[in-house]
Amino acid sequence: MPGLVPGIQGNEHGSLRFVESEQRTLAFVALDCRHKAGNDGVKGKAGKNEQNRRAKKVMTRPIRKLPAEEAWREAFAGFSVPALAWMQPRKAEAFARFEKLGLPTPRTENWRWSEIHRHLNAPYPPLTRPEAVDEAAQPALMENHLLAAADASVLVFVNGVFSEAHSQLMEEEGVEILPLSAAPVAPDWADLAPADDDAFDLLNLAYATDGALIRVRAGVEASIPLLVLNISTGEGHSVHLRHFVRVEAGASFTLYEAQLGSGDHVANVSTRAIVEEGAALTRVQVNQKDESTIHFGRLGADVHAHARLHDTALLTGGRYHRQNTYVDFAGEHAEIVTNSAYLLRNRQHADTRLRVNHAKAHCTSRETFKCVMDDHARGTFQGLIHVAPGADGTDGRMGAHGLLLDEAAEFDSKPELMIYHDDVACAHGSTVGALDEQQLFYLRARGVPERRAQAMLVAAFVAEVFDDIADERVREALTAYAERWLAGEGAA
Amino acid sequence: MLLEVKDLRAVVRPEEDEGEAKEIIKGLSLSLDRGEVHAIMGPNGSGKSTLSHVLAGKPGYEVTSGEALFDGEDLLGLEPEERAAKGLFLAMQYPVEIPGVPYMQFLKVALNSQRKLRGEDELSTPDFMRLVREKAQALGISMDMLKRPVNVGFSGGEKKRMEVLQMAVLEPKLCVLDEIDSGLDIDALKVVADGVNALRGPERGFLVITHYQRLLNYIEPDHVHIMANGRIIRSGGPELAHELEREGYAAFVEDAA
Repeated sequence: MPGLVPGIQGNEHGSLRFVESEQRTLAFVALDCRHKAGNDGVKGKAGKNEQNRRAKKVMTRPIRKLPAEEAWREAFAGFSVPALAWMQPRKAEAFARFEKLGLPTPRTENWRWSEIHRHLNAPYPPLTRPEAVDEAAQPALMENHLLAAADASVLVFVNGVFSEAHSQLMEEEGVEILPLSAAPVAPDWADLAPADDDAFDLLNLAYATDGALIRVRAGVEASIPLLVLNISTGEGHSVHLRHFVRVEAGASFTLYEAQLGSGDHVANVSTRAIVEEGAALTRVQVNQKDESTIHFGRLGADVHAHARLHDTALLTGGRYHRQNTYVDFAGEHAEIVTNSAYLLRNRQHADTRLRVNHAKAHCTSRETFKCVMDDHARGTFQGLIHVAPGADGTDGRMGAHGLLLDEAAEFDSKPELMIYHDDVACAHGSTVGALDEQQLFYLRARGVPERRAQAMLVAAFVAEVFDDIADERVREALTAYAERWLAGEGAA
Repeated sequence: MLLEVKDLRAVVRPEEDEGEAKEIIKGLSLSLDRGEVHAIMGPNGSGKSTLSHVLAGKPGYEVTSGEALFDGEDLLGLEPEERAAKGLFLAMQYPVEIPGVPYMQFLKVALNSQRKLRGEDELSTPDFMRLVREKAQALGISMDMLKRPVNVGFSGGEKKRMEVLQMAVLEPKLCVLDEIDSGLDIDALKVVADGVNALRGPERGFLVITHYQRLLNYIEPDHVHIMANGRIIRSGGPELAHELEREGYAAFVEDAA
C-alpha cells in the first residue's frame, strides 16, 4: 500500500496510518496528532470508533441548541436588506438549507476540535441597521494595520455596511469593483451560491448585508491591487460580508483583506474566487482583531486551466478564528499555493479546515501551515488533499508545523491525503516542537538577549509563509510583525 | 588578568529521569592575560569543550564550586548575552544552522544588542554594512553568503570562516576557539588561522582548544596546557605541544595519575 503513495512523509512525533475506507480509494492517509509541549507522545484520538462513526455517518445532535444557533434561526423572519432585494430569494433558500443543517457539533467531521459549544454559547443575532459606522471606522484602525503599506484601492466595510467616505477606488481599465449593495440586479458574472454543506457559509449568504464585487476583464493585468477592510465592532451581534472576485482568462489581480475591529461579536466573511484559464489571483489576508472577537472566514476558489492562485494569511487576532479554505481545480496545469502563519497567545484558538480538490490532471498545490502558540493558545489544522480518479500527474504537498512556546499550549493537526489515482506525487507532513535550545544559545552567545532571540526564531519559523508575497513592503510588514509579536507589540 | 579560572568544578545537569549529575570539570585553574594566546590540548572526553561551554554560559551545566573572573568580574553569574557584551566570544565547534534568519540580520542584531547592553549607540545600517563588507572582504567571504540564512548549507570551512568574521565584527576581548580546526582541510585551516592571527593584538586574549598540534603550527600559542579528566595536568610553552605530538597523550595522562 505505501508504494502507491510516493513521497508520503512520516513524522517522528505522529502516527501514520493507512486505512482503506472505500473500495476505490487507492490510499487514504491521515496523520492524526495532538500535541502539548513537554509531551512528545501522541494521543491518537481518532481510533476505531472514529472510523466507525465516519463509516456509518452518524450525526448525533445535542438536545439543546446553542444560543447562537437559536438566535440565527429566529432572526431571519424579521431580516431584510433593502439594497439587496434581488438577493432575497437566494437568501431564503440558503436560510432554509441552514435550518435543515444546523450548526456543526463536536461530532461533525472537521469540527471536532473547534469547541463551537464554547465559542458560540451566546446569541449573536445579525446586525441589520448598523449604527455609529463612522465612529467605528477609527483612523487608527484603518491606518495601522499590517496591509497599510499596500499601494491599493481601498474598500471599507464597517459592521457590514459599505463606507463610501472611507473607501478610495482608483480607476483602472478592465477592472470593475463595486459594493454588492450598489448592484441594482444580480450581476450575471458573479457566483454568489453558498457551499451547501457549510452552515456558516449558508448563514453568510442569508444574512449578508454587503460585500465586494470584483471583475477583472480577460487579459487585463491589473496594476492596482484592492484592499478590503472588514471592520466590525461592538458586542453581541454578528456581521456577514460576502465578497466575490472573478479574474477572467489571462488576467491577473491582487486582493488584500484585513479583518479588523474589536468586541465580543461574530464576523463572518466569505470570499468566493473564480480564476479563469491562464489567470492569476494573489490574495493576502490578515486578522488583527482583538482577542474577544469570533471570526469565520471562508475562501472558496475555482482555479481553471493554467491558472494560479497564491493565498497567504497572517492570523494573529480574535478569540476564535475558523478558516475554511476550499480550492477546486477546474482545469489542467493549474497551480495553487496557500500559506498561513498563525501567531496565537493567551486563550486564542485558530482552527483551519483546508481542502484542495485535485479534480483535474497535472495540477500542483503547495500548502504550508505554520502555527506559533504561547500561553494557553490552541491551533488546529485539518487539511485534505483530494486526488480524483484520472488526475494524472498531480503534485500536492502539504505541511503543518506547530511551534509551542508554553506547556499549556496545544496543537492538533490532521493532514490527510485521499488519492483515487495512482500516477501522483503527494506528500504531507506534520511536525511540532519547542524552540531549538541550540539555536537560542547560539544567538545569545553572540549577545542577543533571550527574548529577542526567541522572537527572531519565531519570525524565522513563519518566514517562508510570506516568501510568495510580491509586494516587498507588504512582505516586510508581515515579517517584521512576526518578529515583534513575541514582545507583545501591536501592529503599529 | 583577562580571564582567571580558580578551582572550577562543573557538572552536566542530567535530563529528567537520567540519574545523577556527572562531574566533567574537576578543579580547573587557568590564568590568561591580554595579548596572550593559550592553547588547551587534551584527549577526547577530557572536558575541553565543556570548559568552553561553561565559560560562555551554555545551559545544561552547573558550576558546583570555584570561580571564573573575566576582567576582574564574576563571569558565572552572567547571562550568555551579558558575557558576550562584556567581550567573551565562543567560536563554536559546530556552528548552528538557523533557517529563516539571514546572516546579515543576525550579525546586525548581535552587534547592536551588544552595543546596547554596553550602553553604546547602535550602529546605523550604512555604517554596519561598511564594517561587514570590509571584514568579509579580508576573509574572502562574498556578500552573497551573508544574504543566506545563518550557516544553512555552508560547508564546514565556510561555517568556521564565518565564526571568524563574527569575531572580526564583534571585536571581543577574549576569543575561545573550540576546536576551530575540526572538519577543516589544510587550505581552509590556513584561511581560518590567518583570520584569527589578524585579530591578535595586545588588548585581546585567545583560548584555543584543540585535539591536534597541527592547528598550533598556524596559530602559535604563548602557553600550552594539557587537560585530562577535567583538570589541567601540565602547562608549559609552545614546546609542550611538540612534546605531546611526539609522545601522545597517554604518557602525560599516566604521569598525572
